[in-house]
Amino acid sequence: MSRDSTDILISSLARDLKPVRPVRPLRGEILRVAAVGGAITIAVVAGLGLRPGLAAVPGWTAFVAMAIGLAVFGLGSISAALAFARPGLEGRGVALALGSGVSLLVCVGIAAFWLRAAPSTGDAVWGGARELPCVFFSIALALPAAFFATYLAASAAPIHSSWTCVLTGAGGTALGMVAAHLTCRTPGAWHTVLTHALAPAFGALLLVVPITLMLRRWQLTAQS
Amino acid sequence: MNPDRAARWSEWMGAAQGGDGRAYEALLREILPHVRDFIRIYIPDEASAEDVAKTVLLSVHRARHSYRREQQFEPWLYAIVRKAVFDFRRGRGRRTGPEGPQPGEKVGAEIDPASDRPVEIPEQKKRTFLPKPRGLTSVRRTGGAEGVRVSAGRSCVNGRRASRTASSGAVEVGVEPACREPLGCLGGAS
Repeated sequence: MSRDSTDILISSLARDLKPVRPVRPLRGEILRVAAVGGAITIAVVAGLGLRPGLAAVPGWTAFVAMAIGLAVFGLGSISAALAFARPGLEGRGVALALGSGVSLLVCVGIAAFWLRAAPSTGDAVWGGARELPCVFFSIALALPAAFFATYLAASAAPIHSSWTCVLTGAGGTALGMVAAHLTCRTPGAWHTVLTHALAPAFGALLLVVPITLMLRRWQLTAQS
Repeated sequence: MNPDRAARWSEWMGAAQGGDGRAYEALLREILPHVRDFIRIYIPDEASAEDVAKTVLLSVHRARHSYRREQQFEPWLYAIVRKAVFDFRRGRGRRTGPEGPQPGEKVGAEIDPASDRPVEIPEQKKRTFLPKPRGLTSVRRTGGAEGVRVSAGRSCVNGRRASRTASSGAVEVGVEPACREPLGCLGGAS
């Protein structure tokens, strides 16, 4: 390829240039996704009510720690996904992804420590098929926030699309899990810690394909 | 990083987002030598580097809305350049296959059935095998009019197709070194 053709390319790009509207600030987009996730959480909690039996020790501390951890992880992962969709903000994306992961681990650690230290309530059972409905419920609740974040990412320039999709899936599921966590009826104190903490990874696995397809589709729509 | 240059590029990009073609052309012409220098660190071949430079210009054009004035321009630009270089190298890796020749294998040689020694494949015949299909590391004759030996790189993935071809008698299929059981992962074709 000659350099002349590069010059011609530059001239043609400049000649056919059309004005574009720059993307919104990252912070504003994170707040919009948070608003979607928050609205779903409020609606679900208002409809189903809080998880029963929280007054019993050791319910509250572990429960609140997990709710905070999931919310922070969800917002952090979505923020990282949106940062990865903007060239030049990859460093911020990595920091946000790592920070949110560490936050969730810390909250899981606090909750687990509290559960181990507290006297047994008799329902500290974990495992089996009864864990799954809660996970699928959280994934269903994740869809609006995850797809909205995908739309926002597609409207930017997602040059690291695989990271964007994985983080959107994990973050969206974590945001959905906040609502599922608050209203969860599954018995077992460890369920609220282990299953709810692992749900974002499961959600990322399940959602990464549809999110990738939607991202590509919306990217093509945005470019045309 | 030159602060004057950074401010100038940022300003030009802002103007370009507003539809100012002159500022945009000036920006593209000024960034091009820097883009070329960066690309050549990873892609020494001049023609390929120029292709990647053009890809970068097109990517900058498509992604120009993702730049914000309060953001530094150069990290934004070089993220796009790195991505283009990465994509090019990955694409080239796919075209040439992930592995080199098999141990003891002479690439580009065919086996003379009479002497069982390698003989050079004519240039025209070599071209019929190129570009190599994804996952194949080498193709060579074993004897007979149609008999060729195919050494597969990642053929475990395409095992079903490879074994069918083998059973038709047209080719003899070998497997990657990592697959210790010859032809086992291809469905036991022999």
